[in-house]
Amino acid sequence: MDYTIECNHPICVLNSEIKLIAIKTNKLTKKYGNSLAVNGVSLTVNVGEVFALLGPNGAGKTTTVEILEGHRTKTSGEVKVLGMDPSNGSTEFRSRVGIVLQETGIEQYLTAYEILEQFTNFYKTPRKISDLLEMTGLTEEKDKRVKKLSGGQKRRLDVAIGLCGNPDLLFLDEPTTGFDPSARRTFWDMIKKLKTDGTTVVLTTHYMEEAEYLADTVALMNHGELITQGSLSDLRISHNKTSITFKTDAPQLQLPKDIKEIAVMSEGFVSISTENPTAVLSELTGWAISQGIELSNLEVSRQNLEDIYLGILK
Amino acid sequence: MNFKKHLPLFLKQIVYESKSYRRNPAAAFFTLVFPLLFLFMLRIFGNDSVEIDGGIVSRATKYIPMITAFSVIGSSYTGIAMTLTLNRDIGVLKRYKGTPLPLIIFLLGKIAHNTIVSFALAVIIAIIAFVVFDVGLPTNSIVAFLLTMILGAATFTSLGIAFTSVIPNSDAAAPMVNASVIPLMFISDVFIPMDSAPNWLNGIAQVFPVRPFSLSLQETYSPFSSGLTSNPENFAILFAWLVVGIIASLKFFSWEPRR
Repeated sequence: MDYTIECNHPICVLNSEIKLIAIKTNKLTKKYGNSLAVNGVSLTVNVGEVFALLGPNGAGKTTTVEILEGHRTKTSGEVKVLGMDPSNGSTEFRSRVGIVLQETGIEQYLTAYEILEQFTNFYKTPRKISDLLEMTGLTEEKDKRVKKLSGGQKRRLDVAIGLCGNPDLLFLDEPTTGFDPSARRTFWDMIKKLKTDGTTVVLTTHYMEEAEYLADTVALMNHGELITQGSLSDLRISHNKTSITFKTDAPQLQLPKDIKEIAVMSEGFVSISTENPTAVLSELTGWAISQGIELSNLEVSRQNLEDIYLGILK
Repeated sequence: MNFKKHLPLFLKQIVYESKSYRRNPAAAFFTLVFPLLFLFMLRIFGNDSVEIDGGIVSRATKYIPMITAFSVIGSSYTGIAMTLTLNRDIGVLKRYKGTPLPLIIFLLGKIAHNTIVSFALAVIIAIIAFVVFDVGLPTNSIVAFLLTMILGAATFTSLGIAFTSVIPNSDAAAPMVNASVIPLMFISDVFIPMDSAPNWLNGIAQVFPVRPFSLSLQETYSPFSSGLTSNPENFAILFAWLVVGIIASLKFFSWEPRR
């Protein structure tokens, strides 16, 4: 194995906490003409984790991931993926990496089974075709030609193709776009299963609940730059706000002044985002009792990833 | 590059190419439409006698090899350039790029499959010519026929692959591919017999692969042909273009659309 081992002290080597690095970039930059699609991105993905790269359209996620996959060449900076430079496109690199791109065609006239048979031929230690079909829920569709598969089934076949070589590292670029909720759940369970098998997964997605459900580490990009990177709990600590919401029918609510400043009203709901929930809640309830107002549907919750995401991008 | 190790992979690629091709009946049918149309025209024009090198033959004997040349170039050069460009646009090729499949195996699979299809096409035309137009099968120069067909189809397929590197996208594919080959066909004894053309024009045409291919095919159908040894120069020119095609394909091939 040629993973890079990062450590500051010899004890680390003996320590079970050492983390093997699957991907490391340093000041990664990609220029198209004069525009910087990726601007000085330094990120680390540990072996065995699910890493989610988030950001709005045009943030540079796909360009970054395509550099990691070896589909694009960087303009400057350093990239190591499984200890290798992905731009070489070596057979070893390609054998150990599975790639599921955003939109890719498949030969229309072959069946799902034949496609998987063809792609498993490319690898020395492929997965069994029956396993691939079962993992992606395509067993019943195996003899259907690609042309006849539904959009969701094609997407699952994409994933199955990405898994043909039993990769150490799997890239998934917006894998569940166009899935119905139950198909998405099934897909998530499959990714969890892959993770327990030790596969490292790099995921880009627009669905915050997907990242929240699957990811160990989340990185957020915007305008080509990496805004933040960390575990979900780290993000929650650094963006430590609590949401307080309640329903109101009153058209004009005379909230206490300091609460009014931080409250947002929409569709009959008042929501307050605060780092001091105890004080705010005490003031709010005291005010409501004195005014004889019922705070119906009162909810106090930690911010979810979507709130954090929107908060950071604001 | 270990060819022995990759041989099974190469053979399997041909199988998948062929399955995919056979299941697209429209594509297979239209490969045959043009030659059938030409044969039909030939029928309308009548089958009187024409003079070729060495003697007098029926008009069909003169034109069948030219129709064959046109069809084979259409299915190999034009066909591969169009499908590859389309597959490149919709991302089929990019998917292969992400796997350990070596480029050369991918390309040789395409070349071999196209050569088989072209060969089948030439055989179908030969049989129709024999049954309908009483044109003798090229049996006495069968080795020359086989060699011409294999060399021709492989050459035009590899040149078609190489040409995709200058085609920006699939919308541009048809006009660019036709512009690159149809003018050449006009001066290369494919549409019109060039017996009375000026020498300089034939000289220009002889530099490119279309004329040597058409002339070689005509040789194999000629009852006066001496077979393989009759014109080695044509084989040499085709072979040189095959090498150019393969090297250019490997060097300039692009798995993704040109930006």
